[in-house]
Amino acid sequence: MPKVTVDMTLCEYHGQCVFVAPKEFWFDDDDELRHSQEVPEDARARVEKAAKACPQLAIKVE
Amino acid sequence: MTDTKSNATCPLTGASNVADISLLSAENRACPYGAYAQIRAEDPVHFLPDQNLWVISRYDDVEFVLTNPDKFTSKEALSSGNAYRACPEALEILSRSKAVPRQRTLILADPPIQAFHRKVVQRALAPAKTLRAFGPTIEERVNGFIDRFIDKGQFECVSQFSIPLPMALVSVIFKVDEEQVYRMKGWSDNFFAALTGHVPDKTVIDAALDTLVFEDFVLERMEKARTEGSDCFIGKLLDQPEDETPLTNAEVINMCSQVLVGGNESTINFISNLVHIIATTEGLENRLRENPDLIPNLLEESLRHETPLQSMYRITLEPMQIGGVDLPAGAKLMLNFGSANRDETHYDHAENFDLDRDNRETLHMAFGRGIHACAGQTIARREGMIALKVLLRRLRNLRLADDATTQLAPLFGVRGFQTLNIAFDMNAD
Repeated sequence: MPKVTVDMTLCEYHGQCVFVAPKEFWFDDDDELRHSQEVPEDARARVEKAAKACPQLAIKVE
Repeated sequence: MTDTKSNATCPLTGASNVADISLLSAENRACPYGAYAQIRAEDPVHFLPDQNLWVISRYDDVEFVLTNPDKFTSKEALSSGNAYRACPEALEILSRSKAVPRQRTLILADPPIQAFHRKVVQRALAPAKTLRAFGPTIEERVNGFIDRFIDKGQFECVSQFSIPLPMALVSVIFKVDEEQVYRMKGWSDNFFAALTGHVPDKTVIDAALDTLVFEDFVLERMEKARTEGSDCFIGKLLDQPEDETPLTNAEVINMCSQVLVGGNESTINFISNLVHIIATTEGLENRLRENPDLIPNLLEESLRHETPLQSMYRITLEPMQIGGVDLPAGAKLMLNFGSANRDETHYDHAENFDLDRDNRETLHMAFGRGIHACAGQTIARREGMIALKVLLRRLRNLRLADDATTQLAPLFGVRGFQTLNIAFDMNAD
């Protein structure tokens, strides 16, 4: 299963990942970014798009 | 449901040979998409001999260039040619510059220094934090702009709505008052016009003169920040950790100029384009009012369909092939975002504006991609979002005014408006 990591020292809460892949990335009640650590194979394309959309290039998908 | 697709296709050029198409002609500047489509279909890596420029038209090719910064330099990313270099009088003025040695930063820089610039600017700009701190008052400001014309039934969108909003953000970022921010807007206009090129010498000379004034403005504020401290953008730039290489004056000046120009020019056109599509698309306004959750779709589709900044530039660092075409080292490339965003291999009915298009499927390139992707894109989106929310709440039946004297933005490579007169009814709700 693809692993998703976000470098929180780079994240600036732009929310582009939340827009592109709302099932895998979301803001919690404190406006902190949360994300799935592992996603099913059929979500790979979506999280890779989220990584591409990130203006900070903070998201890695392995 | 009303159909909110608009088919704003530009006529095909009628040129039988793609080499006869001039992107600089009056027709193609008014509506470039027919020309783009023809070039994209017939010669997607298209050489313009008179400008010594390769036009990269396809989505995949543009994306390839943007995501391989080791193969292309960004040192002339913002202009097809150097307008200053072609104007001796402007060069003479710039010889008095205090920002020496001149230092390219950010969008004009390459790795590894670019990563450093990006980090310090991001830290100082802190878009998310800025929006959290300033967010609630953006809405207040937008209401204030509307108050000034609400009882007139009509407004000139560019000067009364699109410009004031980003300038309010700029005034917060640089911590300057309204009078100063409009002086800065004047500088920014001249800098940007000189960058886009194809403007009279007078404009280039004005830009050179403003460059000197701008340098003094930044240097003065740097001095003040160093002696008294400051929480404006310049102060935050200078507030570096001890183990970090201190920024030079020239770097700070160049960064400030990019944040100033980048913070207003494209956003202004973005907002005008949004208002224009609502005013001219049957049923769109009602759908948005009934379902404000569609506004983010509208923002993305507008950015794709009428990309405010249509192109940026790169130079090849080595001989290579793009789209099957051999390019030498040193080839200047025009990355045509406006064309890539209408590439029919990625977008169905690409020429049509379609509120229901899923722009998550293929991410548009209005903000670029990769290491140089627009640092202010979240701020721009938020401005668009709030502008529309408030506009739709207070005004109804937006339409081009009867005496419409709609004028497109005059600069090459820019999609937006210089004048956009909009009539409306007051919202009784």
